[in-house]
Amino acid sequence: MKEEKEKLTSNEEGKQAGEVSRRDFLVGAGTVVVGTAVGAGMLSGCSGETVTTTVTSTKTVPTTVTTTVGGAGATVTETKTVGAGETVTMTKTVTTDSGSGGITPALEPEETVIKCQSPINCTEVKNGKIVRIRPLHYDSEYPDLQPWTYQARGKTFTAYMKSSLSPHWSSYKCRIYSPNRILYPLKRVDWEPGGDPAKINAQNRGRSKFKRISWDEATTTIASEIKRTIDAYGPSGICFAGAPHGETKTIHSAHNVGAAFLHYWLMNTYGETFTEVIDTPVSWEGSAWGAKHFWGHESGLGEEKPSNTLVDVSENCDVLLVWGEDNECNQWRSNMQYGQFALWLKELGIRLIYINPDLNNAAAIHANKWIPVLPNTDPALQLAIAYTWMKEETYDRDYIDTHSVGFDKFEDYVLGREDGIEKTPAWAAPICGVPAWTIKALARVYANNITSVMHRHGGGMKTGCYSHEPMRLNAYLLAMQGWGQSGVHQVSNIDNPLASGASLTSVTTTAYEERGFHCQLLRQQGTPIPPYTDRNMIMRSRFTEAILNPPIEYYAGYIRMPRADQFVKATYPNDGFSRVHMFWGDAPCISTQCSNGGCARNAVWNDSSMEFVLLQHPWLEDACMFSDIILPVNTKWEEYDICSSADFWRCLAIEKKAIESIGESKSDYEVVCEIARKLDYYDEWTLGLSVDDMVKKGFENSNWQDKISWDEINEKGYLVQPPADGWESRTTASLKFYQNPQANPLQTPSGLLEFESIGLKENFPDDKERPPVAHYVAGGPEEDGWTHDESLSGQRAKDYPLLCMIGNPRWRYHAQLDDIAWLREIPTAKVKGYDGYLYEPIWLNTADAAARGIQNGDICKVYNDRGTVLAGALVSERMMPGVAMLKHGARPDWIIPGVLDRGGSGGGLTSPKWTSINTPGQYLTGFLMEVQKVSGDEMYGWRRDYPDAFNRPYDPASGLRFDAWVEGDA
Amino acid sequence: MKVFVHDAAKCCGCYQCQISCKDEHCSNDWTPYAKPQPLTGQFWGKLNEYVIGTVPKVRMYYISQRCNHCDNPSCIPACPVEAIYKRDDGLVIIDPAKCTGCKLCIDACQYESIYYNEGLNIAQKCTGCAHILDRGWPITEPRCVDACPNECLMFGEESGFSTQITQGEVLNPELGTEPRHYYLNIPKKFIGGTVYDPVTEEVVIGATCTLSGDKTATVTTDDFGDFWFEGLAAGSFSVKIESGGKVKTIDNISTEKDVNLGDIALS
Repeated sequence: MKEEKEKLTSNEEGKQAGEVSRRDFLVGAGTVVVGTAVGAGMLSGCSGETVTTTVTSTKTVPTTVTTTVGGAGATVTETKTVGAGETVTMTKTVTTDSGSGGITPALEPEETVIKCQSPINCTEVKNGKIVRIRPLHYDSEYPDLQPWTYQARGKTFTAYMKSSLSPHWSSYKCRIYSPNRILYPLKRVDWEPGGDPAKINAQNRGRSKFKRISWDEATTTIASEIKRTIDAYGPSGICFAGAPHGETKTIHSAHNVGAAFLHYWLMNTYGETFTEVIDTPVSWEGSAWGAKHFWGHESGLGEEKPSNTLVDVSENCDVLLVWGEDNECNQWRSNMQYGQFALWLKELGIRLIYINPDLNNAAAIHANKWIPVLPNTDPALQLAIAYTWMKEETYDRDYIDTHSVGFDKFEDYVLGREDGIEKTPAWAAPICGVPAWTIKALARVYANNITSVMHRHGGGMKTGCYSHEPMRLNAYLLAMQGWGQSGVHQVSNIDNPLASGASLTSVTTTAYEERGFHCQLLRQQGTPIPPYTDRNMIMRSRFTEAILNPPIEYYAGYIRMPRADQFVKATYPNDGFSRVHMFWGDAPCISTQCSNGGCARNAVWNDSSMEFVLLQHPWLEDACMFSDIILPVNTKWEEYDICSSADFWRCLAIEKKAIESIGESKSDYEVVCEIARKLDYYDEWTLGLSVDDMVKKGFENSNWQDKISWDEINEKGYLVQPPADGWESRTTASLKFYQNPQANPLQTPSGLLEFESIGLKENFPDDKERPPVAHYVAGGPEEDGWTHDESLSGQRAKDYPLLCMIGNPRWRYHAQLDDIAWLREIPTAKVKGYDGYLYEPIWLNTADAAARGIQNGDICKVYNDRGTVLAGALVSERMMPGVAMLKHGARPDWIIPGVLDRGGSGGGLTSPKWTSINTPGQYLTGFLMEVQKVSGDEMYGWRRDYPDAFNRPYDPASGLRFDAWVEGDA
Repeated sequence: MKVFVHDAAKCCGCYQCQISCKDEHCSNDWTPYAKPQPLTGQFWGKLNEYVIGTVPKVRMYYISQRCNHCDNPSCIPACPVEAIYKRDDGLVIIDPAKCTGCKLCIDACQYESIYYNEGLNIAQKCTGCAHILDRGWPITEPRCVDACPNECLMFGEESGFSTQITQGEVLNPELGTEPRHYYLNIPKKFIGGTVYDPVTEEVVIGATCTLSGDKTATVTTDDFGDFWFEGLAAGSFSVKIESGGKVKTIDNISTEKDVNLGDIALS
């Protein structure tokens, strides 16, 4: 046993693909018994086992089969069963002919369970284990269902009859059985409750390991820490941060269910609530802080809300500019529809022009043309387009006269009357990297064709420094071509009719209802939460500063808050409230996905003001390593729930439990229930309802309860609905403004499009980073009053001459899924170093790599003044020269905590600053940095000086392991 | 007799074919059709990706590969213990019970579609998900085909794919193994460029571009000044660009790789 352990901890040389490793239990069909840790790291087999299970699901099987696995006496199994977390040697299974009375295990059916994880899918289960996860055929339980169709330009689009499952979710078996699953409650070995700085050892968070504790000890400690914090500091001493991007759940609610509980319990008990970490408009930063001041669109966070865009684009567009966006990546969290629609648009003859620093995954396949543009410089390109239109009078002057204000100020700037610089294509070319002739050609193609511009959440333009400028200018250009008329839109996606709201009655238990149905019930009963001005809040972009250097002030443009709130100062701590001393979070992505200032961002966890850090999550990743107690959470495959889904069809599903909980995990909701129990608030919190009760109640309040009986939806697993009749004729919302702006005003002070923003002019007349009229803002040195200097022509570029995009990963879902073996082995997902470690790719243009003596596959250090991360070189013509790319969300694997990360988390290079001086949005992409090949001496020195980091149990297939951080018998 | 068809023009490179194969075969024992595939490193269904051209005329395409289930396979005669057999529906299967792990079939398959499982000491490859086809549940196609969102990977009776088979190609037909896996729209080489006037700094629209050499063709530049010659074989070419009395000729263009001639000043 000891020998096995040693093998595990020295597994630095990479195993060759297919070579025998300690994960060979995955190769075989072996029975694995992992002590109390049953399940984790176990993608074990099925038919070789001598498990006796009666197969009961026979309803859709052609032949009715009722048999017992291994019961026919036909399977001889030799297994070697070993202890927890260890290698299982090969199982030799000899299967002979099944004989009469049984069939070969391969032909035996499994039970099908419906799960809605963006979108709906089928999961087959046998002997308590997941066999497969596959798309749902919508007609499988509804044989009469016919695909809906849609005609445009003489061609017919036919709805797909399978759910468009993305690779993120069809590979999810690896995630469910990941060796990185948290199996039981954990406590950091050198943390003691009570808040004594000498006993909390905050400085060791992220360094010291954890040990197993019981649920009872964990929840007792948590409850007492919560009460102690409240006694010492009041409820605002507790901070909760729910994170986005966990699984899609309803009752069990992967996001913020702890926040819901705290609000409910604290308001009813203390009349005051906790300190909430609240998001900035994250994926919409540039739109919310910029375009909103031009055209309103409050509900779309500053973006035109999509409305039947499939119809609008299919019928009316000639050209679709996909600007700063990768739809074959960013949309995969939901479905694969973009590719399906892109094929349709191309069939219709619509031109797709991609404007991005990289030939992104969508451009690589769908682009009619790729125009590479340097990060953070889109405004120069946009201004040169406006200049061309002004000079050639190829914009809609009449529309500008009737629909906008302040255009003359914009003209003054573009034509050089304001600053003496004409924003000509020749001026823009060296700034943005696009030749002047191509800029002019683009301007004319845009003006001569009916053109829409597509962005989706989190494109490069929207989350860079000063992102409000490109997103305002984007709207300016659309306005100059008569925005709102058919075919002239900002399109966030090609939405199908269901997503456009043209479906039948929506399902109440929407998949994106963050706090779930249970919380809806609570809302009807609890004391209302005070407005944010009367409680304690921390904007996520300012979290590090808030903890380390309070008090802080910022403008409160929280996500989904109205435009006017961007002019209101928020203070943390707010008057009469405490600073934070306890942190509780779920589905964390703080360390890997948010900016907050480079490798040093983790200092927040080492501050002794943070007396207790509690996290709940299924996997030991992200900020979990910086916590004091970790509670193990289920995946939704281990839960019974109700959920809805929509791609080509809208569905309501009753989600049966596919497998039993792995380890001692519980759902996020159940975790909170256990804490509520220790706070003597269980009955109030659960409303006396069991999970079964709530699922049934969810169905009864779904708006679909009259379409199908409870018994039938349980039998079939799901109900499917097509779009409503006549959905094609719904017009876009912006058409009304186009037709009559006075009668249909925008949510701006003037009700019109504001080239010179009235709100910005009133509140920030001298802001040179977000002036009343949108500008190209290059930034510059801090001493000259600039927030950022992230331009290739700036001072910092002398030391850090590459602009690095830190965008959404294709083979992860932000900070999630970095442990899925089948995604990690895809060539663009990870780069295998000579040491066998799978490094996060650093994408480099061929010329940039050659200039640095870097070859494909080299281990490189990617660095700037904020941190250093290691990465594997991926040399490609898909990058324009001068630009590198490191996807965000890789799990940090610290060599030197807070300084050097082997995992390649892009957060290590991010700025401590925010979007611009008066806009505390997240600044997530477009940073100056440099790349160097790591020398042998350098790597040797790190190995010598930080042996623990290099000897951590590591699995080439799935990366970091649970047992790397847990003492004792994991 | 079954065939696989992959249409590169509709493939978005999502790797669902590769992943779903692993979902079906890793950790699942489908004896007598197949033993479990190792968690990583084997690709019974494999997506290969290709980046062609240089900035900014770069494109990608993907080829979804697996055992070709050849009609004249090299693996079957190579096997000394007759563990490999061809079914009536055309699928070629390695019987995991008979296989002795001698690796001769791996050496024989020039498509590199067979993998060696060291733990089990057997050779393994795509089975066409025959276990699913035979029981007809829960789907009626191989997993890779079922998982393909764009329906660019197809499978079925040969008779249902006569058009695709006529228009398509097989990989390396010269090997003579008669694959039952057809491909549509695999791009051939291209030559592309952008024509501009260096004095006016304008793209030249409508310039006549004439290709000569191993193939001749004429195209005109579009509203970005771009021209593309596509579907070229590897060879040697010249391109002559003419507009407004100005002429430029570029000789000795090799299409061993796709060629972006870049931004071409016509003066």
